[in-house]
Amino acid sequence: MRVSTSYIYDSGTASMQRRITDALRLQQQLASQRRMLTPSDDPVAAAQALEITQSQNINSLYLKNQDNAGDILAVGESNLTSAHTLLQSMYTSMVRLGDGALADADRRTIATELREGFKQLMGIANETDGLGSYLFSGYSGDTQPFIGDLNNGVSFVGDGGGRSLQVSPSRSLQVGESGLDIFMRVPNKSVPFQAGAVAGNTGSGVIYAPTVNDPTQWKVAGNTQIYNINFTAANTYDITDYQGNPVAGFTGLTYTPAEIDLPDATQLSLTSAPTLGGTYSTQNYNVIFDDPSTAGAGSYSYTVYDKQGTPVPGFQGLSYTPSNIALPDGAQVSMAGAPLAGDTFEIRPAGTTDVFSVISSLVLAAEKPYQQTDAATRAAFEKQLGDALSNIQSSMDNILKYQSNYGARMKEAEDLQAAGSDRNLQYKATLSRLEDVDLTQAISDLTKTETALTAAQQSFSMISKLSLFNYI
Amino acid sequence: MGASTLSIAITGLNAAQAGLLTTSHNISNSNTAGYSRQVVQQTTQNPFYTGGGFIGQGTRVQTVQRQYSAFLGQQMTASQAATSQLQSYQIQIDQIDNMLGDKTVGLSPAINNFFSGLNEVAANPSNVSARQALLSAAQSLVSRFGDLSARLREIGDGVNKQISSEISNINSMARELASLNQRIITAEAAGGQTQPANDLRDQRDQLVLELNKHINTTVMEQNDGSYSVFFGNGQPLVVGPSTYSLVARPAEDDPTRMSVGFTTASGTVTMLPDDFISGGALGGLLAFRTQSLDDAHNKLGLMAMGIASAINDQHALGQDLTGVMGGDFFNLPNPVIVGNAGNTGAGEISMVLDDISGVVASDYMLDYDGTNYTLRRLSDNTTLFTGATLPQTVDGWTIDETVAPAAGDSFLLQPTRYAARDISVAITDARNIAVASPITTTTATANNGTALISPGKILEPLASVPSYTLTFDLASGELQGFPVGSVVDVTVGGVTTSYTIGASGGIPYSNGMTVEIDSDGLGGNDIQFSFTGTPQHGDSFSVAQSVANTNDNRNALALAAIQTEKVLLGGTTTIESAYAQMVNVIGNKAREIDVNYESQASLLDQAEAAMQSLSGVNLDEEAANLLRFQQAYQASAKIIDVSGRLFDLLASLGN
Repeated sequence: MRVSTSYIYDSGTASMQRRITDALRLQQQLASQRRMLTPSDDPVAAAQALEITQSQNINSLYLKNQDNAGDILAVGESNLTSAHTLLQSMYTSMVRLGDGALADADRRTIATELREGFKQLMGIANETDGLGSYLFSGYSGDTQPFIGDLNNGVSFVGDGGGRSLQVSPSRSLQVGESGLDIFMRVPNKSVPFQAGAVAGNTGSGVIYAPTVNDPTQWKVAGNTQIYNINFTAANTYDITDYQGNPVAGFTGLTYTPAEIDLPDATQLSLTSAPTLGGTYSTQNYNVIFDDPSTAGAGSYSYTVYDKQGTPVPGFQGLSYTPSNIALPDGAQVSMAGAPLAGDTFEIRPAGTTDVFSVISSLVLAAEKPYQQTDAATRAAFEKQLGDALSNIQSSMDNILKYQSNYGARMKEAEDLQAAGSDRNLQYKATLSRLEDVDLTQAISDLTKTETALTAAQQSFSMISKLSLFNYI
Repeated sequence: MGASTLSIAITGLNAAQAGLLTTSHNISNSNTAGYSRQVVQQTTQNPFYTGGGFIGQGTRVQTVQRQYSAFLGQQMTASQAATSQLQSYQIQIDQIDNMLGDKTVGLSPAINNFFSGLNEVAANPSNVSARQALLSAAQSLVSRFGDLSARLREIGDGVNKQISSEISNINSMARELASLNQRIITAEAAGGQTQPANDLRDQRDQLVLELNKHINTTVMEQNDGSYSVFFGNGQPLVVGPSTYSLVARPAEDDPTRMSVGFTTASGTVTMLPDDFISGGALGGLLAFRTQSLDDAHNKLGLMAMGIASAINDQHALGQDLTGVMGGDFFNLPNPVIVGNAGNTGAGEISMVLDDISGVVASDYMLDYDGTNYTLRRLSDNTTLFTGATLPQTVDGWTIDETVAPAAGDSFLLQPTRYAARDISVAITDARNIAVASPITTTTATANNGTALISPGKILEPLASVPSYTLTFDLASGELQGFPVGSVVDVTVGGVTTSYTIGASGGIPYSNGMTVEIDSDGLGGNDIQFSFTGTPQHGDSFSVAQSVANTNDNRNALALAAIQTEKVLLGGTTTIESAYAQMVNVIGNKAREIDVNYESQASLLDQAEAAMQSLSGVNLDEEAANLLRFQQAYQASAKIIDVSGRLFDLLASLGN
């Protein structure tokens, strides 16, 4: 093939230029440490790198949220721990109130302690996070959730919301709990369940003293049962469940009112629950329920007095056993009075109370004189103390429940963080594989290109020297 | 006899001299672009007849021939046109490619910062500085969209300017070609059409090659030696000594685009569609604009549209710090609708966003023929509908006429083209960011049952926030308190039942049920809440407007979740991956152009090598020729010498 002289120069220059371009590209890759200088170098890897950078960014966001969640949860958790510890010490103080020999002055000292504890508890419940938002006010961060004081009662003015944070693509972690649930929705443990007449009853029947005879059976039933005692005739009743279906084995039962025999051969039928110190009068006598210690379980002790106030001999310290109505699930209620056909009595779960009212009612009672009062008042206080103690216990259980919620979430945030950090490393590795230049490869390529360039330059210089004109 | 020898010698001398001249010409033009080496064609003179046979009369120069192949020439011009087209495409697309090259300055970090801001607000809903930071992030996102869009428009403006300058180059080359045609006709006519005007023809072929760098042409040689040059699909550019000129004008359908027009013999200008012109730098510019620039512009716009629409829709479901329902977060860019410059009617067309997930990155052309509308999607040239009535909803847009157009009118619809330029942040006061949810649900504290109401979810913007207190009635098993006459959809275990609320105001309660209700009565269920657990008689649940809450982050969480939601392109793509796709498409195209350019350039190299192999000057060869003709000259001179001696010999005979 003929070769034109100018083509020798052109193609020689072009091949050297190509080598120089290659060398420059390698140099740029080495200088920037990047394999892809523009997306066109590897469009698929460029898009992948973008997607992975995005995932990495999102992952970092979640890591940050997990951090935040951990912080917020830790503050909440530590407040609940304080509340629990505080309630524990108040519980101990309350137990001391049960000592009947305690002088009134000492009782007042304990009451003062409890008042302080109450204030502290209010402080904890109204605690704010680092940014000034209330911890337990639900969504209403700027509203102080608990207002009021011991004497006038406490009310909750926040809401039931619980703030969440997105901590992973599929998990939104609740970082706040409303004080409504923690402090105001405490299961009432002072009574096993509630019992009462439904409005519109025509008879004088009352039910009282809900008792659980068989705790195992009651527990199995879950303490959430609703029953209705429906009187079909004056002394006949059915028990139905909450949907109105009769409970098997509890239909067509007979109610026999318990009666108290009086000296004049008449009988007294109670129309209300017997209370300590309660007085029931007939034409000739007064029946007074006194000293409960002498009566057996489920019974009340009474004495019959004549109208002059003298105990009637042979009618002192007698035992009154109320008529009981057995309920399903091992429970029972007592009944007094005369129900009529169509009357209904309702049995409901115990419901809830709030920790503030439990403390405040006990404190107010404890501040009243104790030693100089009658047995009835004292007995009423003992009863109230017992109720308060069981409800404080219930409050602590409730707080513990939320505390463990917080704990579990903190654990989850930590676990997620560990997983997120791992993912971050993986993303980094993938990105590096996609984007980073392979130094060894690039340096070796650069050396190769340099050799090729030198060869091209030397051979060009040799060929360009060849000319016939050198010889003629 | 002697005279004859002398004359033969002289023909030899002349021929050798012609050879020497041509060789010198070749040597001196060895570096002239487009020069074809010339060769003297020598032939014998007519012989002299004698009884003893034909006696040669010496030599003569028949012609000086340039070593040129029209076939190779055509191959080279075609390769040149294709190479130049790819080269000009490459220069343009590299600008976008480089712009997207660095992932730290692209759109991606701005989008991520925005969502990061939203997450920050979700974490600290009451913190005003977090809200302010979100607004700044939104501002910088919007300005990043604006910057990228401005850069693309700059590139578009550059393309417009280059189209104009390409056209003026083409016109001036066409005029030069025409004048060369004229000179060749004249020169060759002087020689009676027998001898070619080699150097002029070389100049002309070189000019055709140069012209093909700007536009692809086809050449036909006429009988008089002139070239006729055509472009497109047969439009004449040069015919003999006359030319037709091209003009650059704003396109009739879109005045922002410079387009190519062709001046006919009568002087009227016909606008040519962009795909009419191929090859050369002009073809490359037009192809780049249609295939890559428009697409990049629309894809960017789609992202802006997507983020504005998705955020706005969710934002409208929230409540701001002042207790007001969320307004627009971004100002949603309006579609740009351009009536054709040749429209005769006063028709006006409107375009309203219906569903962002249906939107594709494309322009549309709406034609009206007096009876029917025809809507064409320009990205893939698909006719989407033909019909007499508007409105029509296609590709997520509702297209309607506000003023009826005249027959023959057409409109260019650009819904996404300028969206990245036009998007802006609507909120100026950080308090107006709707971070909270407008409804709060409460399970009453006094409830005895285990039933709980869920926090509630907003499905549609609320005209007014409802307030219900729902109470469980044991006897009927109903949850009562819904407005009488309203329709409530209850879903239990995946089965949805509609209840029209009767006099009791109740619906049957079941554990795990989800309730949806059209609380503002404007159609479409707007709030949703669900229940778990077992209620007891008289248990109550309330749904009411949230107070101007500060710590409620429910809507912020929903807004932040949009980052990973597939809101675009039929629910297949997140906003950020749409950007990755755009980078991928541009990168792929740039790579494709690179590869094609490399292969075309090597084809051009090969064509040039073949051409050079035939037409190029080899100095060694010319040196040899120089010696050859020198020796031929010397030999002929020797004949004269010999002939003189013979004459002398004869003359001496008489002495």
